[in-house]
Amino acid sequence: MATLKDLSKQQELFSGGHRLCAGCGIPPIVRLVLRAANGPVVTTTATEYLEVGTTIYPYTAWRCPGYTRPSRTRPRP
Amino acid sequence: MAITATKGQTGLTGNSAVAYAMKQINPDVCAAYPITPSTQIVEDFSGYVADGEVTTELITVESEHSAMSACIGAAAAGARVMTATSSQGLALMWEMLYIASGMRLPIVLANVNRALSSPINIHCDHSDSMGARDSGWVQLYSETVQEAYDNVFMAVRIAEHKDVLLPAMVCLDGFITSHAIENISLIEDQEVRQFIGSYNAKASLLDTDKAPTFGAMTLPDTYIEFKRQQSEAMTRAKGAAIEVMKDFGKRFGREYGLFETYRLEDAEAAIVVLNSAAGTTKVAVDALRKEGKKVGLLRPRLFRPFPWQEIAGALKGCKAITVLDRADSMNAFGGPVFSEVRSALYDLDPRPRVMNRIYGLGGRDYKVKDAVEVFNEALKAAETGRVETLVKYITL
Repeated sequence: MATLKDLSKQQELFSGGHRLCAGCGIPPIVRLVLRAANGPVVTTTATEYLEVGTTIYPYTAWRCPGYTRPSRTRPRP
Repeated sequence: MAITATKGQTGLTGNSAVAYAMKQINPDVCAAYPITPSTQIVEDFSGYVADGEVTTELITVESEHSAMSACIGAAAAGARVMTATSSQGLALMWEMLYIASGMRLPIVLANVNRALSSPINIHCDHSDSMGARDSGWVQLYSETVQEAYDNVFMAVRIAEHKDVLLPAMVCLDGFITSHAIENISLIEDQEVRQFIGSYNAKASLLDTDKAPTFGAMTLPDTYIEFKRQQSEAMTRAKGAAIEVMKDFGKRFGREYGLFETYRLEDAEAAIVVLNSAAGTTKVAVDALRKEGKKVGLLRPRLFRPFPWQEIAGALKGCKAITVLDRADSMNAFGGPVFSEVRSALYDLDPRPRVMNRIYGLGGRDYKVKDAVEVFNEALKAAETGRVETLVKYITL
């Protein structure tokens, strides 16, 4: 199993400069998930602050392809 | 059902013909959830998938919302995608219809027109697709099984046209067209492939080098530009449709236009009506013409984009026009086709009298006698220049 130190050496697919609030817990989680993913990555996110704060046209914080879906496509319990 | 495409005539229902067209197109992905009266499209097509007659990835989903969502995901990945639905199914896709068109994904959907609940009804009217008329989808309407079959191929070409890149829906009347067997002429597989060509998406979700973002956030500084581009693409879809229909006619001998006219050239009174009711209306036109009454018909085929200048041009000689709507806008000023046709005719000088009759909701029969009554009323308005009732329900 990869250690956090190992993961820190993986490619960075989530850039800084996005508009999520300072102190928000989501970006470190996304960065870690993307680092842990092996091979080519495509993301899909159901509409929420992660997506609206990181894809404000014409900018994107994502260095991998991404598709934002409406909230209704989020899995429900 | 084993069908072999030959130049000869083959008896097929509207649903089977649409499914067969889909088989011949062999889309990369089909995600669908069956619903009456379009069920047999998905049923037949899933048979083609199970028998290995197509290489399509068939995604069986838990709802129409999911069907359109899966279609959008696949189309964003660059696939050629098709689906089919009706009524509540289209209604449940609503949110996703706008996303398909906003992302400029040329998905093709067959909509078998059916009434919307409540009260529940499984029969034909146009409330479903009329509600989706402003969702940014190209809409083609079909009078017959043959036309529905042909429209599916044309829809693929129009949707994927480089000047368009918008989703398209082909509408045919529930049960009347979807379940009636008609002798139709099929196109050979090879000719279908040549006509539709291959599809190469401009951007793919799977392109990790370019890493495109689909469905980005746009704020008030950019959103309206996206919508204007989409609107201009929809406007260009008219030219693309003309080009595609012309090519279709040249290749297969069946000529189609933005709309069909029937004995309209010297008509004083005309009916404007979509889909299968036009067939009934033509019988009434012939009967009244025998009595020396100058009546004619205009049947829109391309409803989105709405070719308003051409329609005004074709109707400008008429003194009175009755627009028949198989859907009500519930806005106390007539159905959707009426509002648009009447608006298109506003600048004509002299301006014809234009009336609206809501007919056939929930599959109520529209008979030759109904068309005759509508024509006689229109002829009276043509003669007197007066309209007694602007909007009313008929076939009650």
